Amino acid sequence: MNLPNQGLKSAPKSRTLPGTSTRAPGKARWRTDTTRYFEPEQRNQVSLKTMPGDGRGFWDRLTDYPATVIIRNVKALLFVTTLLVCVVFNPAHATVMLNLNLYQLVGRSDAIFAGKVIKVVSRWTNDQRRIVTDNTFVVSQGIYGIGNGQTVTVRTLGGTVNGIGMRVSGSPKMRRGDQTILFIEKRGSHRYVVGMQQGVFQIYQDIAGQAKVRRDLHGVTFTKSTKPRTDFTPTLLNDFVTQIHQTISTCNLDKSRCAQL
Amino acid sequence: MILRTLGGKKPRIRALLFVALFFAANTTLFSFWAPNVQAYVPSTGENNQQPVFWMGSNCVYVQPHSQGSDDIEDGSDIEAIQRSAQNWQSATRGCSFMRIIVHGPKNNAVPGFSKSGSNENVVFWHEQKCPEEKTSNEDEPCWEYDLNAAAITTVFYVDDPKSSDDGRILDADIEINGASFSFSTTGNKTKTDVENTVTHEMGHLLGLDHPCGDGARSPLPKDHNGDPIPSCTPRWGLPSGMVDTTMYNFADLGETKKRTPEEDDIQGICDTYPLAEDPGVCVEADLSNGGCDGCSTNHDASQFPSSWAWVGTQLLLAMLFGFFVLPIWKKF
Repeated sequence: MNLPNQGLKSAPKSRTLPGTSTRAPGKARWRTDTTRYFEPEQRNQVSLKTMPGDGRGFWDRLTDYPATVIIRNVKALLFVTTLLVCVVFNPAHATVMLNLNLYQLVGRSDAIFAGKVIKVVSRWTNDQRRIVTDNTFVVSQGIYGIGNGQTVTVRTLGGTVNGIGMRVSGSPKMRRGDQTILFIEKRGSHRYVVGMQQGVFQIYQDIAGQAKVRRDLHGVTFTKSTKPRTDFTPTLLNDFVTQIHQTISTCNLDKSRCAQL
Repeated sequence: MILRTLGGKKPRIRALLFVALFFAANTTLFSFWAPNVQAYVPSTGENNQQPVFWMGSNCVYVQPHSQGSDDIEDGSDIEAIQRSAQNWQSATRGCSFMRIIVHGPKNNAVPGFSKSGSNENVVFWHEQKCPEEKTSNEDEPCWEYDLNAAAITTVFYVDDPKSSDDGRILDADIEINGASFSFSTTGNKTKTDVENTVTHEMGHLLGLDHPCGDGARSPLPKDHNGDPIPSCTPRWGLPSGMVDTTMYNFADLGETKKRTPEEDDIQGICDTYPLAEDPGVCVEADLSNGGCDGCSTNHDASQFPSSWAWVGTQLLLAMLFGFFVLPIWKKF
């Protein structure tokens, strides 16, 4: 049988308000070990600073309230605060780079792998107007489009050659020995990281010795109407690889979900 | 009167008034805090992580390509570039010698660096992406960077710790992805604002970096105080002034607030190019210009309050409200 209040998260609770106690007059009472309140006839005796109304002071009135009431109000306040913060400080969109979620990263990638950087070489492009860096990886775990043990060279913008440096904000920077999960695409005759720094996930060991991944997006400025995926928190490596596999399966079934710009 | 209203019997009105009161108190508190937020992040070289900046000249020339953006027919895109330069100069005139001078547009400006010839700091819209078979020495320029990037600033500099010119910027080009993005100069909410974007990119051109980092980076970039920069997330944990700076990492479509450099941005330029160290000449940069002995930076700005301090203050404020305001509502 459906009761009228069954849909409520909690049924209305009865509570004893200050001044409605049935206890014997004149006996001070303690609630929840922290907040003391008095029976009505005691109140006038403890008034410090009078206010219009019943002639009692503010601090006296405050102590009328049991701790449970105050704590419940604080909980409501924290909820309101969180809500307010989320609404007022909602992360904005960005100007200089389109944010890619995991589906879009997968959709744009020709290959995805976990690997280790074994060689980093910077050089001028053929037209001698830009510096690029070729980063050679050994694939330790091919996830998509590439097999274990293969070597692959990924080009990034910027680098230093003979004392001249070229710097591009948002371009990933690899160092020999770095272990990463990379999402790469082929453009022209070279392979590049998808979405600049967005396609690089560093592999590292946490304090407990577990392999985890994390992402660095410093230098990237986002744009478009999607919220930036800046909330990628360190994740267990195996969990992330599983997530990528699931995303690949989803993309195979529903290509529109992994659609590109 | 307010308290009586708050204590009224209409819970919705009471809740709304409470939220408004809480927000007002919050804003008031942080309006005192925000002006103390003074930190910027200098762009650094790859090898020794030292700041990069222009030396030996009190100006930087910028050369827009005459084609501009094909989304804008009335020439206001070039005017927006000029305004971006003026925005920096107006904001830093009182404390910095540096000026950005925008040449009239010309049609043979080419982005990239020349080791032998003169270099121009070009602002260039790429309106087509490179074909798959594109080779890097073809003449026709095309967007060969990531398709999701709307604009890229490439900065060339001396990266040689043994050189007196170490960190000296030699060339900086702003390349804009017109192949994938639509631009406007009117603050159109569905397009990317040219002045907003170029003012931000000119900050990179002058040697400033983004003020916060998203995710982990090793080593974590440092602000001018030498402190690791805060994470961009959670955004509400950032110092309130940071999100309004021109160099802040994120912006909305149609956003225009980056057009005007804020205190941190100004501090960055004025510390890097202080009036007292004006070289007194305005020249194009090239490797033969010589060094600049007096171009070291001055750092005396205060540090950011930490994100945890901010969160703690929010909680404290909420607790204070809970203990002192709510009981009054209930009673009156």
